[in-house]
Amino acid sequence: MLHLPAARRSSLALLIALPLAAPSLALAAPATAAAPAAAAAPLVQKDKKKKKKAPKGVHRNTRFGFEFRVPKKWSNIAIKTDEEWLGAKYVSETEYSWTDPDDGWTWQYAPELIVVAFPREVMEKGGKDVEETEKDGEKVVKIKFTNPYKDYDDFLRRTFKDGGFYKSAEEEDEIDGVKVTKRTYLAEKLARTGPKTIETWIYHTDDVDYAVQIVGLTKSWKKIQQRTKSVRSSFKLIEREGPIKHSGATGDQVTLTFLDLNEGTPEERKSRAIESEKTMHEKAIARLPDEGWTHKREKRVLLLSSADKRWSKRVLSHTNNLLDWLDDNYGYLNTGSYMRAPIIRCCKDRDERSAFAAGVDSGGMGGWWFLDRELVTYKDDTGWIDGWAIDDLNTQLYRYWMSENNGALQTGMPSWIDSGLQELVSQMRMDSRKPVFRVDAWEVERFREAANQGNLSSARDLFLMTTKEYHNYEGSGGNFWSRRSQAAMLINYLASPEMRKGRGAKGLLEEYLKNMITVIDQIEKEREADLDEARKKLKDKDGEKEYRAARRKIFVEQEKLLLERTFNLTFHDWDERDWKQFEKGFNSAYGVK
Amino acid sequence: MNRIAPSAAAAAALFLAPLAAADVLVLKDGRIIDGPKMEQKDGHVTVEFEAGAVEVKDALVDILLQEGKEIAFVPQTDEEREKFEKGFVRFEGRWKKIRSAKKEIQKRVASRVDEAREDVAHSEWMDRYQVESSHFQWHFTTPRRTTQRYIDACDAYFEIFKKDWKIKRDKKKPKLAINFFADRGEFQQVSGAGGGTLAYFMFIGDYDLCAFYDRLDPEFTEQVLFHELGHYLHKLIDEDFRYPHWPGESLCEYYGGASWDPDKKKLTVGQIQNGRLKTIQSDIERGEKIGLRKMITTRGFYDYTWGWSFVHFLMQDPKRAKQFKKFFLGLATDKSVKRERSWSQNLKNVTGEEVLRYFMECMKLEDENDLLKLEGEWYDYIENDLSFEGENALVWEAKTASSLGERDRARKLYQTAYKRSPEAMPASAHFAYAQMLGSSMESRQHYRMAVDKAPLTPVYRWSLGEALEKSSKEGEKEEAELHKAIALELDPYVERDHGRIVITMD
Repeated sequence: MLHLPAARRSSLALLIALPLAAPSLALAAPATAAAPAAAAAPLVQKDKKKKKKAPKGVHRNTRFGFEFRVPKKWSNIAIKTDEEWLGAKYVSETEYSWTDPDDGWTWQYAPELIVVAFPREVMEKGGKDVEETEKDGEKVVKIKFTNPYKDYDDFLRRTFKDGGFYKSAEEEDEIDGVKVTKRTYLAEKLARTGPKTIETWIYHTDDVDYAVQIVGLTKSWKKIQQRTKSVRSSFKLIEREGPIKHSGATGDQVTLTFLDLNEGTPEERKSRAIESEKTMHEKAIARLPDEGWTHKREKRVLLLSSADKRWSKRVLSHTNNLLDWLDDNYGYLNTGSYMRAPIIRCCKDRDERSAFAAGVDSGGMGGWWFLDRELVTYKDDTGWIDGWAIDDLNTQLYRYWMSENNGALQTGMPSWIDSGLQELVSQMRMDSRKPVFRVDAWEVERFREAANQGNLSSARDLFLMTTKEYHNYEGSGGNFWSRRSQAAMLINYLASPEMRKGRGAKGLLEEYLKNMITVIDQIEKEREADLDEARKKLKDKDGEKEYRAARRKIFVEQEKLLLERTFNLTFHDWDERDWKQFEKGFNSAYGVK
Repeated sequence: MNRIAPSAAAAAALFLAPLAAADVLVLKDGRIIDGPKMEQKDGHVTVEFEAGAVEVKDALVDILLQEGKEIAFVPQTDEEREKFEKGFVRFEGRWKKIRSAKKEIQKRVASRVDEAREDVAHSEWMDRYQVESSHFQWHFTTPRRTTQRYIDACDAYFEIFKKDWKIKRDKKKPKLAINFFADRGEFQQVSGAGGGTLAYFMFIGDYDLCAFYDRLDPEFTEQVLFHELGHYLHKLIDEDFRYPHWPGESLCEYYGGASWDPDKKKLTVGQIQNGRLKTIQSDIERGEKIGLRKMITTRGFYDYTWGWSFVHFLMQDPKRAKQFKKFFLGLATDKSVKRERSWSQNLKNVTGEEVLRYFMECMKLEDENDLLKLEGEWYDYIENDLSFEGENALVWEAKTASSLGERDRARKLYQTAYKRSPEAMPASAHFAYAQMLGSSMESRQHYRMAVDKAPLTPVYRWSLGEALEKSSKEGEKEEAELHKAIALELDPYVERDHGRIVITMD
């Protein structure tokens, strides 16, 4: 396969709220009993108190003004807190299977239903907003540019992640006086979990296009069509609760910028963080589906959950204990920041977790992306201890904790340490305040084997290894995984009182990381001009991503220096004998000869 | 309304309106513009967009159809004038009656218009062309005429490879489907390829090759197709076997460097891969030489560069070429080779150490000294026998450096390429270089050159507009608006897709 970098592309998000005008006159005529529901639809309902609860089995969305009958045994899926385009999301409780004829693997896939609303005013504005202000007597014209969806096809292109797809059929129709475009798309190439059919009916009204999208395995498409008949036959437009307020956001938004976290007095920073936490939590709770979800704030965590009570309780207790443990053991990394309580979204199963991430073009990955506001997990039917879900939640929690406590260290530290710390935390189970340290047996074995074969450099070299060297897949590509295991074992060794019995290991990690913070401060001062240049990107809130990338670039350039200085500060009084003993202690702890 | 077709983004019914009712420009890269008024003189066609005029060099033009214009012949020499008075014109080297020459031209133009209509009707993937060639099943949304070159070239490639390596296709199986998309966007959407992927060959199940037409770099498109096709042809040696990175990728590069002459219908293999050679030379300048043992036993990017040169070295010597062919075929078929079945793809593989063992056996190398001797000869060959062919080696190397994230090196390479042969530098290279230069005068100069060489490429024009906005030079701010307006007329989404955040102080 040949690769070149992708073309330059802007993908920033519009942050201003854009209240839409009331629906056009043609559609604002009062509904009469005889008039078809769709044609008479989007009336502005002035009195919110009159809003009626939807009958059982009916999904009603009064913000966008539509409703439909939900197929039996389909679950309502939560929509990401900041997402503005999705009006409904459901996933079937029945899974369909597909067996890959090439490798014999069988995949399960639960069909999904999404309703997306495209308000014409937001679409026509095209994500471009011009803001004029005055600064020091000069007129400042600020153009915020963003890429919300151009149309339904663009939405699909950005959000469908299950392989390549193309439109295979299109038909124009009219239902109850509303023009409807009926499209079918086929996802065939690189569709790893099986070829899919995407059937979308787009209802065109004067001010909003509604796309009702159903996705399922092509192999079972007839059955799926049969079961979703009720959606097609019952979809209709209803009164809206008011003008549609729309920020254009397609995924999670920045809630606290780098500047918010790092500038001003500690009191100011704390006050901003508390305010942001409050807004985030309130908004997340307000956007929970009416049924199936609960929310609970316990100590340091807000849990939104559709999982059963027992699992939810365990997640709450585990995450609170893990945060406490991180504070107790790594509190020295904190730069005086207030840590906002994370939102943990716990889905009832893996399908719901994957449906939650569908239909959004950014975020939704659960803490892997800095815009991910929520940490997302699910009840893992492979178990609390052995399941991958809690490993993943731990890793998200570690990243969140690090970002809130010391963002500068997080963007500055070399990959091997970050990866080692992630691995350490991912394996922990904290049902009580005492951690259960676990070590991935595969990692240990890989490390032992690579070390015994002489394929690894020494621990001393690891302390000086740049991210580029660590991630070097060339030459001995397979060695990356061995290096990764070595990094995991070294951090595990330094962090675990039970393991670090060898000479020089006790307290070494703390000393090393503290020294690294000192060196990062030094480098920040030395590269002040470049950092200031990067900081200019933050004048616009949308520049957060660019700023982080620019800052990371500076630290990658300085990485060798950072490592060497940290190394000299930490090991200035170590001689060959000390190193020999340290290596011996480390290696023997994991059975390396 | 101005219309450019075909592309995946273009609406399907663009040309259902009568073409000749307006001026129509058919470009050599297959795109068609209709709507604006056009005029041809002084070596270019002026296209009058609503926002302003754009000059398109005749070299880029295939056909210009002007509304209501009669076909006129203007005799240039005394002989032509004399014949013209007798009712004859010179047509394709022969004297022909004016009426029948006009008729012939009208017939050809009508046929091109029909072709253009046909292309537009096939510009969505669901309506794609499906053409069976001698060896492949082609699916494409590119213009039929533009694609023919690739269809012929790939068939010729198959024939040559078949002859060289004695492969044959299982006739019970369908011909390989080559999915050829009109642009990168369509390729990514329909093929499911992500990020920086340029093409792929699906080597399990029903084989499938996906690639796209880069209208700004048709030769590169050809190389990418040849490279991926190479993987398919290797499969035909033994479909149950997956070739190791070396020699697999290196042999693909060897044939990927072939060049196709569409007029003579001739494919020449074993050409110099200029970009690859430049990468090797840069490595040597930095004091980095890849050892033969390392290259054979491990996988790395060097299999595309150093690996290619090694295959080139072996293939130019008849005796070694024979040994290498035996080795390559034997890796998949020789019973003495130790193979393992991969867990994930259920295909047979060979480890790096076994590849080396078998290579040494086939090349009759007895020990490490022999291997080092061969390595030395190979290094000499690189130094003394491989030299650049063509002017764009530096540009290709810059592309490679850029794809490897070596931005500074890429910038320097573009700079040198421009100094050495500015005319040969393609529009895409000017554009890439301009992006690396930030907001300098030099950057604006290169955006200008990109626009000059590809005047109807919306993103180039948009970027020039953005660059000029920052200029303090008189008139450039107004010019910026003009370029941006034309770019938007060509592609209403250009700002949304390629615009950058702009903060201006008035």
